[in-house]
Amino acid sequence: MSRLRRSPAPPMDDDDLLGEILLRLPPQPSALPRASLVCKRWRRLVADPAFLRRFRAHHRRPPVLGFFSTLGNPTFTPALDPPDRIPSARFSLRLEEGDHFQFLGCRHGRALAVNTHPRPFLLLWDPVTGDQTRLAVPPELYGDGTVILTGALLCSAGDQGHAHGDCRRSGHFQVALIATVKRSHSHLFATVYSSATSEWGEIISMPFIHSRIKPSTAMKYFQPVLTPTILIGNSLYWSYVLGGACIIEFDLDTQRLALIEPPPDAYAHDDTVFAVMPAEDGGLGLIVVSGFRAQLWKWEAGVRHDDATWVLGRIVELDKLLPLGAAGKRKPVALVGFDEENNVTLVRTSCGIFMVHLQSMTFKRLCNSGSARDIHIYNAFSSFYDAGTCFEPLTFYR
Amino acid sequence: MATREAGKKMIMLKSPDGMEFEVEEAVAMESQTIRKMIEDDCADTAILIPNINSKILSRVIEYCNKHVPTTGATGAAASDTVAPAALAEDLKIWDAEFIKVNRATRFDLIQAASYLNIKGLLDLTSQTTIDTISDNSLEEIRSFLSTKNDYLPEEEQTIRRENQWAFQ
Repeated sequence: MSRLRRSPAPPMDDDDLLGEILLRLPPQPSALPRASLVCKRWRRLVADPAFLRRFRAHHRRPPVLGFFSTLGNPTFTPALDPPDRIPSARFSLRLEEGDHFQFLGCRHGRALAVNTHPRPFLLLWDPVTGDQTRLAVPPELYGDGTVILTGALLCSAGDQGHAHGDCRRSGHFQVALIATVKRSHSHLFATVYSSATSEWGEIISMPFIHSRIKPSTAMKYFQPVLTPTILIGNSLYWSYVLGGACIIEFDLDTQRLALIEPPPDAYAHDDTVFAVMPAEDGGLGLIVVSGFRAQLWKWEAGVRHDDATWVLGRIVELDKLLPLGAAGKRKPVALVGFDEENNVTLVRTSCGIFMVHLQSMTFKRLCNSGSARDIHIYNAFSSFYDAGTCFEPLTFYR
Repeated sequence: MATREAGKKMIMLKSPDGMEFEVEEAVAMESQTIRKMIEDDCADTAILIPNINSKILSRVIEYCNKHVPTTGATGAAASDTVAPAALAEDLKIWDAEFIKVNRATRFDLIQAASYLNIKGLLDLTSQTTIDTISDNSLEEIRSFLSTKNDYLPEEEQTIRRENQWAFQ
């Protein structure tokens, strides 16, 4: 006769079993703070780093907590309803006199911003824990002649093989920076920082000559509109719009910069907007919005590398999907953001900003005002709310 | 070890109250704990499961019977004619009925699922417990789980203050 080992205590008295149950708390940000208020034992369990690792692994996808705007000092706009609505102030950066940040992007719960004044540096920042790391910008990319266009934060471990959020505490990271020549935009520069070596790599450059982008006076005065970075395979993509439109590709493996032409109609009219996004099969895709019609394009490889072409996939009539009403149809819609991790597109209409999941054709209205912050591009911020001062030991235990 | 129809290997599970359950080895191996014992050749004619009474053990076996993958000689017919999505839907409905038990039984099932390492059953029982309490107030959660609030009022206030938005 075989025997199993003896039994533990009833579930709610056994830390392992209670931990097992608490793992199934929803990933919404209020879940852990609320659980920690049940009793001290619950608080100890949900603050345990091993529990938090399992919690993240169990849920895999963190919720979209809100959005950071790319214009001006980073401001957070919450996306969830109470009690999960994290106030803007909770994720605001403490600014010092003269600070001028430009938000570059976020990934896996960490944000990247560049402070352009008075002395340029990059800020890696975990809005949930408040942890900050500063990085000096290579002097070649910031001086009289050049200006930083955009950048991206990457986990060295790649996107696979680790639960979201684990990387933001311990793992190594990389930062990719893209810069251009001030005013003329005649060249693009790219370089990558690795936390493993604490060094910036070689700065590579390419002429930014593009048939669709003509030098214009606009370049002297305006910043181009760059969509949030999309990581596909091991390449980064941005769409660039200023006096023309193109897609910038930065291959991290080969350290090669390239430009991809959008489909012919993608920038035909002033009211046409487009943005790179992952295609439904995970490859490079593009959403082109003209009026209320969204076309989903896919970049399909040809026989040779340079044979790839854009293939039109689905068409979504946004005015039929979204409850726009007469007021919402007055002005064409604009794409104002994208969340790679959850595959949601942010669409601004004259009756509010909507978060649209194009694959499932579901949406959520984030705010009712469409006119505010018209030129902002938003970066979705997804994270587990798995840390905070409430998990610090209370100092007044008697 | 006993064998039954079509050469299927059977295994005997014994509860501490003396009940014996003859189950197919494949069904018993839904429990990773039992699987390991069988694979390590530690299982003899019967396995005594000392902590799980016959009432709970029979429910656990019922769950494993339903969830054992329907592949091989006997399962082929079922999976050929029913689409996987329909099967999954059927299992979901079955699970929902299965878990309609009182709190004490559910806690016993959680304990058994953890002890026998049956992931699906642990998911089902734990998730149901969380779903039951998640819409309730803290006081209701504490009373439902017979947990005592051991915070001093000022400690509770401090925690609330730190993430005030989460308690709105």
